[in-house]
Amino acid sequence: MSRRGPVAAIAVAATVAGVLIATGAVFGQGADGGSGETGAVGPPDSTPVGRPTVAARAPAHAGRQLAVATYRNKDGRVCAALGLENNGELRDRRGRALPLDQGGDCTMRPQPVAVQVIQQANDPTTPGDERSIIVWGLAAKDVSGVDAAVGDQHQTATPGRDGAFVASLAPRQGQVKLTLSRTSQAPEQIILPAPPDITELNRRLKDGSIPSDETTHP
Amino acid sequence: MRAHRRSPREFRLSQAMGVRAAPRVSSRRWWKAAALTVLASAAVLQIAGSAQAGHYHNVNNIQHGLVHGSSDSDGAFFSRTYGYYFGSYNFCGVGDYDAGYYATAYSYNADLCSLYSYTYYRAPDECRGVSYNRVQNQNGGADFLGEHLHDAHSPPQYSCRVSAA
Repeated sequence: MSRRGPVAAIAVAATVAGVLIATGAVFGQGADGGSGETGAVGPPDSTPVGRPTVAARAPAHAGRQLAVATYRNKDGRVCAALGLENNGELRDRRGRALPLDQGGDCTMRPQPVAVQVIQQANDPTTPGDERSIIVWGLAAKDVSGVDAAVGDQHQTATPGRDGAFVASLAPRQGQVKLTLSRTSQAPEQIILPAPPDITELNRRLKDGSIPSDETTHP
Repeated sequence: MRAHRRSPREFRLSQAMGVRAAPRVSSRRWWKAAALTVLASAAVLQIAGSAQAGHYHNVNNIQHGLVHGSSDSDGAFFSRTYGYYFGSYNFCGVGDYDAGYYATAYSYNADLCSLYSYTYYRAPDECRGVSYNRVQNQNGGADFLGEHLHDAHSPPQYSCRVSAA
């Protein structure tokens, strides 16, 4: 064996060790890098394994279509993401694919529903008033319908693949009332808080009354 | 037959190409070189990965913050709150200091609240970007994570607004 064999082997092993240390595999940092402040674990890896499938839709402003896609990650968890549908895929406002590896949610527990309630501001760069309340998530298998109501607005969504659903409502103040139709039991109502008021948060953003991380923690 | 005598240049070349046996190097030197390679690889990868990592902040084991993605200035960023406490509402909000919030949200029965800038706004300003983060106790007790803001990773000293084209 030539003299270069062991040298090359040591170089490769050293480089691999460096990679493992840098990625946190050796010293136990979170999958997403984490802050490194305490070694706490970050959100589960949301990189899709296989092709995400649009599982639920709701009409949005200017002819757009809101959609929820579901997929599995490498651990077999059900993951979901909300976006705008274009040719059967989730896209952003530029028409580009959503970065699901960074933006997917693999933490939803549909017991009997897992929900994200969004208040969307108007986007002045696009036509029409887009202010809306979006309610989306995953429902348990025995949930056949999710009625989302805010104030005098309501919309009923039928869960699709993996129990995905989405509803889009005109903006109203007040609590979010979810009424679940269930095949195995009587309908169930869940009362959720009002979504964060964007107008109020913007006012506080301008006057500086929301503390920044610099005053609360590193 | 007359033997070929190597010129000084040929001699240096042959040395460089390893034609001649290299002088023996002690094993201690190899281990030093290996250790340096480990440290150098780790340092290079940590620096290269800093655009991805380091955006999450950790309070009470709740990872949260303004997450830039692959670049600090391409307009694509997230507000994320990962609060895996049962009985909590996880709040997030994505926006910038000029346009205000593009969207705000909370999650229920999910550990993550996540909003992506380009899903809600066509011309986000990542350098002046802001993330709203909070984890509220559903039972009315003190917040697990009090409301607060996170600015962009780069201080918002200049604008990098991305064209709406």
